Amino acid sequence: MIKKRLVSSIIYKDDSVVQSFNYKTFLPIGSIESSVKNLNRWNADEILILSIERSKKKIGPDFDLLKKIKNLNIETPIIYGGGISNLDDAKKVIALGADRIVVESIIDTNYSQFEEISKNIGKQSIILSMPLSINQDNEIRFFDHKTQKEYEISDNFIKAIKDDLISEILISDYKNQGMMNGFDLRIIKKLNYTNDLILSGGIYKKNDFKKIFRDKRVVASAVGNNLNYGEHRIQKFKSSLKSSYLRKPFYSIHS
Amino acid sequence: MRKNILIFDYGSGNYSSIEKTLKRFNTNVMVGNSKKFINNSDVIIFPGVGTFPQAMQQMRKNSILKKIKSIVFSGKNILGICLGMQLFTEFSPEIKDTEGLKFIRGKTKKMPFKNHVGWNEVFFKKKSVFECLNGKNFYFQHQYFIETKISAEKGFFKINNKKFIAMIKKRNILGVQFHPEKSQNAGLDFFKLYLENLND
Repeated sequence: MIKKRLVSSIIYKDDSVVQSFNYKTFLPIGSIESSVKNLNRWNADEILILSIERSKKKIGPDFDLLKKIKNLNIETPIIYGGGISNLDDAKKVIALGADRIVVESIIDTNYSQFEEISKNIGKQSIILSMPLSINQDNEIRFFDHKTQKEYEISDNFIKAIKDDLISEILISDYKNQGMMNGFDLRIIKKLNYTNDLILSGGIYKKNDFKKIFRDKRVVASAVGNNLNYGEHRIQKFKSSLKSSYLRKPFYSIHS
Repeated sequence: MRKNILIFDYGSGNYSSIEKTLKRFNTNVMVGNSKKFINNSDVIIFPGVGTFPQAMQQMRKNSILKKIKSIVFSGKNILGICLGMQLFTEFSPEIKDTEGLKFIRGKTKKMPFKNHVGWNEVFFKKKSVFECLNGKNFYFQHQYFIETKISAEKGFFKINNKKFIAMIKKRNILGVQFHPEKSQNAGLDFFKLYLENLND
């Protein structure tokens, strides 16, 4: 049986790992090398690294960050997102050790290049990022990091899903990102996509995980602040959940 | 004696994980696709990076298809990982219909489900070199799988109780659908067992 995953998410900004609260307030944590090495040692199911504000600043993917990780002994799958705007970017990111990539801005800015990426590196390696929330009128809103405004989900995003060019959708409940309020389940209730979903934002307590995994489309939860900054938090958390849907926690015997 | 391991380069570039993992087992690791590298290697690894047509095209372009085939039929150990294993079959429909290396009589097909991404249990047979890894979780990331009726040692993974080939071993040829280099302890144990039990 394919297991549901606890994806450890790292937010990287201005050459430092940061603890993020709503993508508005940031607390520096330390080096990327230490964070990735720890998560690998704690046997995270996948490590998601989001180098934020790359597309907004138009500075492309963070190749320096990826080079740092490439030099480490990591046996955990790495997912990278941030600044990928064409096929060359995607190829370089994969060549520098990422197993999968997250795309968001490119969907609206350069859809044809996104199609090329999917065709060249395979849709199994592509995760579509969608920061969403529900507004006062009970409508789904898409948060654009560049303009810091909310919009309807664009036609291109819907097309990317319908064209079958991605493997999973990373849905960030951005209003609850870095908070401990639980994921707003109304978001996924309103989405009628059948794609596999990775949920992020507000997921903190055991009950939050149990609730999100009740939806069969949810294959993973991306968690940052809760699991990344304490020795063996992943193992302890998995043990406490006692779920057969998760890979059993274990402690590395290899150094 | 230290084994010389060649990671076959299809021109896709990302071999660092597998290279670093293999170096932990006291091996000499080379990355390339020249005839000299092929001759000097004890083991050739076909990694799981890229697409089926692109990998086959790379082998044809460098005129090394015949060399690979002759050296494999002469008994050199080869390990195919994910796409690498799929290349061993006769054919794949990935992107466009493409002939494979034909080391295994069988075909590569598209998964009847969306994708198979994540951790899944692999079931190995009793008395297999990998028996101690039976039921362990390995990392998968693929859209295609192999189907063959040849008589060979096989390991399986399951989706909705349907069995798919996760491992196939016939003499000097071993293929795995999962990524041992991304499978943490289970993957390291897999490489250890593989390197300790190479076909003579």
